Amino acid sequence: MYVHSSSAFICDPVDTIDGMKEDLKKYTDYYFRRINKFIMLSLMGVHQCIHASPVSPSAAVYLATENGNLGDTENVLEQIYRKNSFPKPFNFINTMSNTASFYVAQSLKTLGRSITLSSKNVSFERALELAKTDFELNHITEALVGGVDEAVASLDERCAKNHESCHNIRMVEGSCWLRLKPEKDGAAGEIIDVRTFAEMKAAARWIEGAAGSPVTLAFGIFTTPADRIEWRHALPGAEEFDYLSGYGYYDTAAALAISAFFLRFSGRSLVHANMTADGQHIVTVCKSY
Amino acid sequence: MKGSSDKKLKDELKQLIIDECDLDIGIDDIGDDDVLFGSDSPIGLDSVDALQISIAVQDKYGLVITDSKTLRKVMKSINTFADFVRPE
Repeated sequence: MYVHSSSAFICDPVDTIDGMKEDLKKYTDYYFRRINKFIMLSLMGVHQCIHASPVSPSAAVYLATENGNLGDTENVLEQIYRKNSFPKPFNFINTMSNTASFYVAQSLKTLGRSITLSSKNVSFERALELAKTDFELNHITEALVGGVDEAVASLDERCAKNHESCHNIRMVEGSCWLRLKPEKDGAAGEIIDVRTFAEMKAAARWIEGAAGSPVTLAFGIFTTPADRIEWRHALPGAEEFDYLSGYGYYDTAAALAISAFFLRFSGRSLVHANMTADGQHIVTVCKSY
Repeated sequence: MKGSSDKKLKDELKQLIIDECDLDIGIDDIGDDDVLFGSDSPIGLDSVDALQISIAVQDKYGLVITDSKTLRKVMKSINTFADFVRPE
């Protein structure tokens, strides 16, 4: 599947969405009512990705997220348990998992499938796999695949799992999207493969033959220091793309790695190595033209 | 003084509606007798907005609207809404 455009929308953690609402007006005339930060992030990212160009009425939306509507879920729990009150209807409705992809589909005027999916640590990679399968089965002819998450305050906890310091990584709000089509004409690159391996050795063996040249190597936050050494051995001479230090981290940051790669690099391959919650290795290989 | 005679209260209610219903308008865009709900209304609120407002009214003024019939009657316009919040 070919990447026709991409976006990498990130910003420092914000308490209100007023600023983003103003920014969104640059991309669309539609006024979005009753939305929250998660929905706003989704809209910002997807509209930056499509650059105001029309989307097919049957385009599919795959919104990958680790945490979903985190802020509104917190609001609803606060209203019920702390204030002992009814939850506000807008907050309650927006806690439903597919609300953001509904707003995205509505704003793009697409009637195709719209799916929100989450898979511990590797939600964006799983969304790419799903889109790839749907393209292969001819179920879709265009897809918007995004990784969206609000900033959370537990970055240290994530790093502690890998005994790593997070002092050089800032937490950000993020919404990064790819516009995918089966046609190569006009594409900026392609997603070559997304593979999962139980063992690092098998992943390293596979990548030696699968990565193109010149190659850029990027790591998800859960890739252990020991595994990083193995990846470097498997791809000697690979240039490293430390997007987490450069841009920041949010929970579907694999989307940031891949989107930013297409925005920044041309004529290269990207190998993004990440780790599932149960310790499997997931590798995404892309190529920019 | 009845609520419908108190401009300050009515402006407060207009602002509450704007904030709670996430409307991109100012308080001057809502007339005191404008219909608030339905397709004939200049601001076109719907049943979800009504629920949102009723919970906000409960939180802010301690007033509970118990059924949808009362809700529709109370929130017909800013004047009826203000009279509900302050009947005398």
